Order: sequence, then structure tokens, then C-alpha cells
Amino acid sequence: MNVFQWIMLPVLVIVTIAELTCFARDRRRVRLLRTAIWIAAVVLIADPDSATSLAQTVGIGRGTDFVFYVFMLVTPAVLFHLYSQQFRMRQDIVLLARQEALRTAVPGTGLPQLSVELPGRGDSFETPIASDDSSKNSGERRE
Amino acid sequence: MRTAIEHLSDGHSRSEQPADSPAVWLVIAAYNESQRLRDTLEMVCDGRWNVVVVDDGSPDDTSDVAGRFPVWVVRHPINCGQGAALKTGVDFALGHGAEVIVTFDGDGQHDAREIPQLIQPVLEQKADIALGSRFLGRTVRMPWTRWLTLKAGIVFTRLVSGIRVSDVHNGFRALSRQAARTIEIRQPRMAHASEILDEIVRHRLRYVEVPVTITYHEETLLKGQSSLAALRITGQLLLGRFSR
Repeated sequence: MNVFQWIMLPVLVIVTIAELTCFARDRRRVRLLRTAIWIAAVVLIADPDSATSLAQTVGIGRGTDFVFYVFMLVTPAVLFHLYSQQFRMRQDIVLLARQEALRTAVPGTGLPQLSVELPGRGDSFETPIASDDSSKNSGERRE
Repeated sequence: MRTAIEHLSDGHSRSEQPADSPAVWLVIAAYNESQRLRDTLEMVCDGRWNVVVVDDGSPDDTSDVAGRFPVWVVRHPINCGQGAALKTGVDFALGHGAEVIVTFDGDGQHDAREIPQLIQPVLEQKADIALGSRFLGRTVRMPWTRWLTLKAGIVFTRLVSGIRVSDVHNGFRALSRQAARTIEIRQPRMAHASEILDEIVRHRLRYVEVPVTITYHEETLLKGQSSLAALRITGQLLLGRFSR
């Protein structure tokens, strides 16, 4: 065993055991997937020839190239997935902010009260009349 | 018989307009614009238009300034971006029965005297959307870097969206009620302008370009997007497409 194996294998074994312990407690299936990834890492590091065997099976010469190609494919997929999730989360937050804004619209000086109907939702609501109170309220919200 | 556009062009106040006069709404998105917004609202609040100001979570007194004018004030509790602010304003205007919606910048870049000519094709139902074009009209004090960025944006839009327009990031536009309901703005930040062009293509909306004037002020340029922001907008747009 080389130095890298001496360092990484105990770490990965501990992580795998921790993952399985957590799975026993909360039964979340994602932990099994993570455990499988850690075990694959243990096997590939402990037995580098296994990566080479896999690589040769699919027509790639070296095991390191195989691992590199897998990461080349997985990394962008994970990044797009994360971006997509973040984009949707941001949209949800924006939607909440927009609905709150529409619900609390206030008329400026000299405008009458109107009933607002949100397009496509069919729910209408009264917007408050401009008054000292409403301007105070909007001031409080900002604080 | 006078047309609706004639009524709107000659300074009748809303109370003086006939009942069948189309409801034209101006949507002004503003973020930290209290000083420039005051000047803008003084220009547009002449009684001809319904106005909604969307304060996009400004920490300054943008909302308070807007509230001193006969406009509706809608305030995002957090900063969501110009695209989201415009969408909020458009939804508000649609909820109030807007027949034509004009998006107008709050920083004084646009000229309110050009609104009648911008909305004319929409009122006459010759187009679903009228896009203001500074390159068909004129610009005042535009930096050459901005000119270069915008021209590159035109080429990019032509390649990516397939729409042939002379100006791609002009916030001065008029939409019919139907177009406003059809166009889906998903990009909360600056990429919404390109997204609107995509939506025009996707829904096969009829559009025209109308010459407008864009005036660049020193403080606007300092506050506004740098030309390098075009790269960020391009990234947002492309990633937004991937995440559809």
C-alpha cells in the first residue's frame, strides 16, 4: 500500500460506517446511494487494477482515464441539476415576494381604492386606501 | 370620430377621457431610484396614463417618493430583479383591466412624450407588442462601450433567438393585454429583456419597432449595468434555457 492508500482508505471506511449508522437510524435511501459511492471509492483506491479492468472492458486503456471520463460526465450533470434546483428555488422566493407585493399595493396621493384581481388565479382582493395609517404600515414593513 | 390615440396624444386627463378610451398602464420598475424616479414621475404623471411603480426592495425611500404621486406603489419585500419587478407590475396592471401596458424605466432614460407613438401600433391592433429602438431613434450621450455591447447583443439575439430587431435591451416597450398575458417572464433579473424576445418568437406575436430616444445620464451609467454585465446576462439566459 502507498501513502495515499494509507491516508484515504481509513477515512473512507469511517465515512462508510458513519453513513450506514445514519441509515440504520433514519432509513433514508439516499444514504445507501452515498454508501455505494464510498464503497466504490474504497475498491478503486485499494485495488487500482480494478479501475483498469473496468476501463479495458469499455475500450479505454487506463483506469485513471476511465475515472476521469466518468467525472467529466457526472460533474456537468450535477452542476446543471444544482443550478436548476437553485433557479427553481429562486423562482419560488420571487413568486412569494411578488404575491406579497401585490397583496400590499398602496395607492399614492389622490388615487381611489380599487379591487385587484390577479391574472390567471381568479382571486381578487381589496387594496388599502392611501392614508396616514397605510403609509405608516409600509414604513414599518421596511424596518 | 376621434380615435383613442388622438385622445391620448393631446393631454386629456383620465377624468376627461371618454369611457371607451383604452386603459393604458405604465409599469415602472425602480430600485434605489428615489431622485431620478421623482423626475420620471413628474414627467409621466400628467393624467393621461395609469401608473404603477414597483419598488424592487429598495433600501432608500423610493416607495415614499412614488407615494407622493398619483400612482400605485407595489413593493417587493426583497430585491428580486428587474424582470420580476416588471412581471409584478404587469400582473398588477392586468388585474386593473389594462388594455395596453408600457414598460418604462424609472431612471429618466426614456422620454414620456414618445409614449403615444409607441402605443399607437398596439392600439390600432397592427402589432401585439411595440419595441422601442434607440438605433432607429436616437441616443444622447451613449458611451461607445455600450454601443458596442448592444450591437454584439443584437448579433447574439439574431443567432440564438432568430429574431431580427435593431435593439435588444430596450426597456421601453408597449404590450397589448393579450401579449402581456401570453409572455412568460421567468428570468427575474436582467436577462428578461432577451427572454421577452424569445417569447415573441415562441408565441409568434406580431411586433413592430418604434424609434425612441434614450438619454444616458452620468449617474445612470454609474449605477447601471457595466458593459461586462452583458456576459452575465448571456450566462443567465443560456442557463435559464438549460433549466427549462
